[in-house]
Amino acid sequence: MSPLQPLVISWLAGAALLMFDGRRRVVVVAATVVAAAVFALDLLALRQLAGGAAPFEVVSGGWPTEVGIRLRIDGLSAFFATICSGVLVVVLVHEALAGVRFRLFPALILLMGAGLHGAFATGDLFNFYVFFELAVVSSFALAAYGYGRAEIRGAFVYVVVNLFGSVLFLIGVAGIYGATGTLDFRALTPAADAEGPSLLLPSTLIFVALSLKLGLFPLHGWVPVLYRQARPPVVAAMTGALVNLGAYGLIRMSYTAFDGARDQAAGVLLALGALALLYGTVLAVFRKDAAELGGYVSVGHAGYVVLALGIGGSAGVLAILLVVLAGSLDKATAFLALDAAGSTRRLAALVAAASMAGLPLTAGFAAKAQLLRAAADAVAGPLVLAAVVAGGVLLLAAAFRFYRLVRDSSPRDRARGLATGVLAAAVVALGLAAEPVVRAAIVIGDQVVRGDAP
Amino acid sequence: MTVVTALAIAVIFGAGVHLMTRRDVFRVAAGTLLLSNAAVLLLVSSGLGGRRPPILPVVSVDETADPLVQALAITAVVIGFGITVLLLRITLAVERTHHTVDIEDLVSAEKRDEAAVEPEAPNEEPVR
Repeated sequence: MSPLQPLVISWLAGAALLMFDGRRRVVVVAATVVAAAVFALDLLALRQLAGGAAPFEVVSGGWPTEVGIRLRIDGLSAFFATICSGVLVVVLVHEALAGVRFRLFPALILLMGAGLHGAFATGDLFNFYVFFELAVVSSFALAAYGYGRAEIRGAFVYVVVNLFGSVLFLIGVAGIYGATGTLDFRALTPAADAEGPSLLLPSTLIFVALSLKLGLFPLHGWVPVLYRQARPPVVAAMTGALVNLGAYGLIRMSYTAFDGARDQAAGVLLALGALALLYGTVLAVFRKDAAELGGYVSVGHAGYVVLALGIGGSAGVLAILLVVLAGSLDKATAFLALDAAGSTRRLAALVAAASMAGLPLTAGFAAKAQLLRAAADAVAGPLVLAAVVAGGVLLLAAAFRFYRLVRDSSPRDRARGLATGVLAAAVVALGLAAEPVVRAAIVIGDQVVRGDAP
Repeated sequence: MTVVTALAIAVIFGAGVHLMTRRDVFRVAAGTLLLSNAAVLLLVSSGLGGRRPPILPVVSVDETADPLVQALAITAVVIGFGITVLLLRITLAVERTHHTVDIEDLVSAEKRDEAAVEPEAPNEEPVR
């Protein structure tokens, strides 16, 4: 199995499908089949890697490792890739059933998947930026899907803010290259330790850029705007797949290139995370619009991710992995529920709300339990624990309100609930049979913290 | 040379930030474009290293500037170009759908749209 397979398949298929009208049934079905195949390959890779297989690695064109483009799939990459491709398949099925109304939709979803796979596989800061942009550009076009007044406004804000984030990232990359002469994650670890203070500004810029893409508190402004204005399936793809890039980048860089910096910044990360968690959840409780509420829940989730990063260690990384898994699935379910009707709508909203709140029998429960366990052992234990508990209570109130808002409203245009139902069932299934997933996440978390997989 | 490059980056970046704070959406788009170009210039300058010539005249490999950053910069330029086209298209769509380029007007349009949607939401019939 080559690490290139999922990347190349979705890239070529996406590029080829750009030439055809995505509203035709055969094109959507082809895209869905490709996405499902990619998901199956990811799942296979994840099973092998979590079982202790060596990471898959390939260097393009037979160049030496420092020169050629290095692609490497380890447990962490496979974990994120599987979540994202799974969500994208469901979104494609949902649109296929409801009837695609934008000719580029299937191709753009595949290209977003290609960008995500590339970013998860690359071992180099600049290539991370390139793949990142590939995924984000697809989402720019998708954000305007529908071409209504609201969608266009949301897309404008989204593009300008994210482009600004990319600029900050690029400046950070330039600074790091200027100081160390390398951009390879693994080569940067010793170089970053040697350079120390001169990397403070570039690494902070990269952290800010990734936080902006993740939607962390002071930089979250675009999240609720976009989530309210874009189409629910598009938001499901963003919140379930694209946003994970920020979380992945933070974990990957914290445990390779900026290992020392993460330890020093642990206090800042804890404070930022707690602030984002409380801010997002407090605002979520008072929303009148279900999609906007979902946006603020997403801001709260970003808080969880950064808080767990501040806690650090295997426990913290495990908490991030479970939060990302549960958060991706339940937020995607929540937004697909907005586009469904009848009993599927109510049921899916209920499942999504329960998982957001971290109730037992849903995927959110394992994540919340691990977060509490990690918080209890953290440096500033009681304070962190208090923040997690307060955020959890607020999230419960917000989730309940989300359910009521969805129950009392009806979809904006059309509805077919099958894909929504499948995703909701997956959230429940992960809650009922959490053990194999948690065990895989434990293995991957240990690999990340130890620095290198076997 | 270093000072000139640094000044050029600073001026372009400053002009970009200035434009981004304007009320006209096309100016905001232009400001974003300038910012991304400032970042590309910074990327190039991170490999210039003293007084070595960037490409020509070719003397020997040791005496020219780092070619890797130039490869990175051309990639960033291409990406920036693609995104700029998309951003301008979206800006054009903003102008066409709202018949204004003023951000304040867009904000009030948003409030109007919101007010128009909210009261009727509970009574809306499910569409199949």
